[in-house]
Amino acid sequence: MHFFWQDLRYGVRLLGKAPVFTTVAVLTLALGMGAATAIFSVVDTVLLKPLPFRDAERLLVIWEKNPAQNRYRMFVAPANFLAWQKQGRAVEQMAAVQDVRVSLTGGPNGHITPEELKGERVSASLFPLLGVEPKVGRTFRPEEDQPGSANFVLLSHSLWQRRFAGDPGIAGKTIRLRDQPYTVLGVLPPAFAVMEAGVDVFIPLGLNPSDTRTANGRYLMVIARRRGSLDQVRAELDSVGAQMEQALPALDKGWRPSIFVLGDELVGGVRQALWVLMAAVGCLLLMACVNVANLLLARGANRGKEIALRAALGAGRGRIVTQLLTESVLLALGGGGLGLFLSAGAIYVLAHAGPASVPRLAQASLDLRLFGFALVVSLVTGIVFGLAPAMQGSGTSLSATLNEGGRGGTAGGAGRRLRNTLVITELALAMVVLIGAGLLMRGFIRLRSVDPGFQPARVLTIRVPLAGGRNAAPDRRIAFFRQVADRIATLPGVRAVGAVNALPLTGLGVGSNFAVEGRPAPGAGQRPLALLRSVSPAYFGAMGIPLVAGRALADSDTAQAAAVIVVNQTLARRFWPGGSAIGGRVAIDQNVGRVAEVVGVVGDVKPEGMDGEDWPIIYNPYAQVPLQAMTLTVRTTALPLALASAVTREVHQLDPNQPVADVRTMEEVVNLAVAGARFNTVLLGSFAGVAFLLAAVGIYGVISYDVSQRTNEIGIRMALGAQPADVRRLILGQGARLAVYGIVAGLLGAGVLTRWMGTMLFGINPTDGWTFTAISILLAVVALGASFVPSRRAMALDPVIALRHE
Amino acid sequence: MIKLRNLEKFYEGGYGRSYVLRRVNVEIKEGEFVTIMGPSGAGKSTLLSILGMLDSAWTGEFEFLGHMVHRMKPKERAELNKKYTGFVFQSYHLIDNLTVYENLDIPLSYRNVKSSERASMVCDTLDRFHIVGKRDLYPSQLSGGQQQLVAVARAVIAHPQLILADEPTGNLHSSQGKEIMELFKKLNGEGTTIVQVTHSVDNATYGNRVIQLADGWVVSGGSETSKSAQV
Ligand SMILES: Nc1ncnc2c1ncn2[C@@H]1O[C@H](COP(=O)(O)OP(=O)(O)OP(=O)(O)O)[C@@H](O)[C@H]1O
Ligand SMILES: [Mg+2]
Repeated sequence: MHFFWQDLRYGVRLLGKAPVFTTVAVLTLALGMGAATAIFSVVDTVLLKPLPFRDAERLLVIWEKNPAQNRYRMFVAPANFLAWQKQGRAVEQMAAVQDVRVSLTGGPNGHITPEELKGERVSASLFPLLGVEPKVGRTFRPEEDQPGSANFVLLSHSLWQRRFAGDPGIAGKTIRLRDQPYTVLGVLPPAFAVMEAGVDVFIPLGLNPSDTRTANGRYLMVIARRRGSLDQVRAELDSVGAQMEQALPALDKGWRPSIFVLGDELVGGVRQALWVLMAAVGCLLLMACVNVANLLLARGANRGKEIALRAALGAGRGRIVTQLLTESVLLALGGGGLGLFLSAGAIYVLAHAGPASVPRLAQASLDLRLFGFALVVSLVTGIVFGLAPAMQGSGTSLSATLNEGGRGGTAGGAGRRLRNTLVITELALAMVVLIGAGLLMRGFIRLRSVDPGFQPARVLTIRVPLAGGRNAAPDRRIAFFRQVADRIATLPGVRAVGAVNALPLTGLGVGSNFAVEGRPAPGAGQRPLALLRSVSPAYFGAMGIPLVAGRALADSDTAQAAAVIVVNQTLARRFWPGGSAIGGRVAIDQNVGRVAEVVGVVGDVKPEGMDGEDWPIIYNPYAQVPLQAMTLTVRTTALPLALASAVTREVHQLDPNQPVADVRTMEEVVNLAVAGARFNTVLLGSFAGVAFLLAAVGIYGVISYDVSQRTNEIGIRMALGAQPADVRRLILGQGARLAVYGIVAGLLGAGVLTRWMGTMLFGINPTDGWTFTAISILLAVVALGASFVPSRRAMALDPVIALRHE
Repeated sequence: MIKLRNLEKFYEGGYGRSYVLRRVNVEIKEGEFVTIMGPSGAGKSTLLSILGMLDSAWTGEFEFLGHMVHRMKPKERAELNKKYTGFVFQSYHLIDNLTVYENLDIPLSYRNVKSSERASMVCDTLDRFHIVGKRDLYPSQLSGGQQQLVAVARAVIAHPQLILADEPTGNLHSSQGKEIMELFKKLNGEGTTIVQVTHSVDNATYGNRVIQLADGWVVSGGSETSKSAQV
């Protein structure tokens, strides 16, 4: 015990005496461990922890697929859901979910500030299927999930807290949604989510099998719990699908169920990104360890002789080992302590600022087991390499140690080779991380430079859902939006005000089959599909969507006037190849037989994502197809957000109880559309920054240690006629040699590893030559730069002093 | 060949300047074989490294083959050294991670010698010093005497006009020491100027003149004619 304290004090003193060594070692370890723990924890939460449902591995998601149209994840038609549910034997339970938006218009005590909520209409069987118990009250009974039954609602935990102050007696009270009374049955557990996060209210789906209006659409997501094996489920539902194709060819020709495991489906899009990030932080942790190993080796080599001498003078091997161990452990613990802070901070930032597309990211928290793993890795590194001088100074090699460098000698060969190997490894790892980041960055730049088809700068958007409000009636909607638009247009700084039911880049939204008049009817299952938008005449101007042919929509296109539409270029090109779409007549299923004339063609906009495909889009004039929820698009002369409150005020002037939602700029919408790619790029980019630093520190450390070890040799060379330039060449050559080996190894490694990044890269080949070359040059420059400082020192050596140096 | 006038060297210490060389006036003609002697710490090695242009922190005048060294930039001095001098160090100073062959090659690598010629020069030298069998060994695999031999070989390999040797026989067997001295004698006979530092009176007899140093002063032998250097 006495020795322990003595060693500890001595260790602290020695580390304090070498502040640069200590700082670099501790920071290096902290960065490596911090980054690794943070990402490991995120990966663990998002990918590895089981979903919070009973037997989660048996849960499935079922979509519909149409291989002929190359679509594999389409919503499900209610008729098909009901057929699967009825005939599926290998499936224990099945539930359907539909995304909806509902306005909260009244609280248990009457008036409440209205708000549009994210909701899901769900089958009553969903909660027993998942094995989820409510926190308060109860879930739906089967009879409450019938068409025409009374209105019931379940609240999310966060809505309950936020809007109802966590009222424990909420169950049984009545709130108003869409201006209808709904009885609150209960509150779900915190963070409960099935398909999408952030859903506030759940209401029964109340599917009506005989309702022909809804039977033809595809709008359900289906969750199932399997009883048999996945293959059994697939085979069985496929045969049900084949029957449905016969029974309902108009709906189902070419369509089949498409089955996935729920866990895979939820993380599908981010799994690869997370593994890549994990590999990157693994590299960082390794690099940090390599760096520290190198620092310790260099230090150990300096002390090798001291220790050999001590041993020769009779110091017990055990004492020497304990002393060295104490130092290594102190370093690892210091780095670990700082790393713990770093990772806690990083996880906080990730959980709060990460994209919504990463499921359960918000629940990520520091996992002490994973931190323990990183700490053990660095402790082992510290112990193994910290003990090197003791190994060197032991037994048989004692005289060799004393001899080596004993006669005006130069550095020991074995240690130098090990240090060089380590630094080459480090450079190779840095190459891999830097190339990965470089690829992502290039892909991201490509992605950002995609023309979305509109001009996002200086456009404010605001969603105005009329449902349940006093302007919801079809005859009032048109007048309401016209009035709102007129009022906003008079605000200073507003140039144009448009309205659309679904903004670009926010999803496919409503779609419908259609037919071009005068063309032979295609077979069932081959009827073309277009996205449907309702827009005000000013929409194209406000968004900066160019008119390509014909005319835009006009105020004169009223409900009483002839039915007209504007189509996008993709639709025009596909259905009037080589000719003009203007004057063509189109029958749109959704508009129930209404045949409209094409009066104009506008440019394409990306409906779903910057990297998504162009869809055929049909624009209806709002006055002819008035929907309940519209998003106003306000083009401004200055900062759009500065007008947000003025615009909201104008809406509330017309109806103080009208909720508004999603007040944001079009640039935010674009940013959101690339949030996933940005997240990956920023994260991997910052890891690359760390890797870059570690590599620079690593090579600097090794070269400058080399210079100090070769002082004597440099003196000799100078005495034998070496010019300063020769000395510089000697040192830089050393750095260059390490760099070349490291870069070549890194190129090979990256060539293999970046293949895994395929789908994360937009428009960039995983073996993009430009990136590989640029990163090689970058790292070569770093290596030379890091060797340059020590080479200056070597050049400035006084040969007389250098010759005396031992 | 060499003229030193009032050359002085000092270190700034805690108690002011401590002089290592004082008002040194030395003249060495081409073809001479000069021995520098004196007690330990007298400044012999210091003087030798000044002659070899390794040390440039001194005052006074130093003329070398007509070049005014005291007016030259460090780079030019290094050029002079490279062109004319070969150096044998007091503690051999071989480079540990290079083989004997590679050690011998260093001086040639810094002079514009064609690589084909370099190989044959190294082989000749190995031959001349009877160390052909050691060519691929590392210095740590040689005895002290053998290392000394390699150090001498390395100093003469580039055919310098001036050889500066600091205790070249310090660790050698007396017979080996004699061999080195005979070699110097032979080189001297062929026209090479030699300046050696030694404690051995035997070795001194190979030279034509002894410069006595004590406490940084030249006590005697500063030039061929005057027997006393004191002015
Ligand atoms: N960096 C230095 N700072 C102060 N004094 C120094 C320094 N280097 C050498 N000296 C002093 O210069 C003096 C001359 O040293 P030098 O090596 O020339 O002696 P020497 O005559 O070669 O002795 P030896 O026979 O032991 O080799 C010594 O007294 C030494 O202490
Ligand atoms: Mg000496």
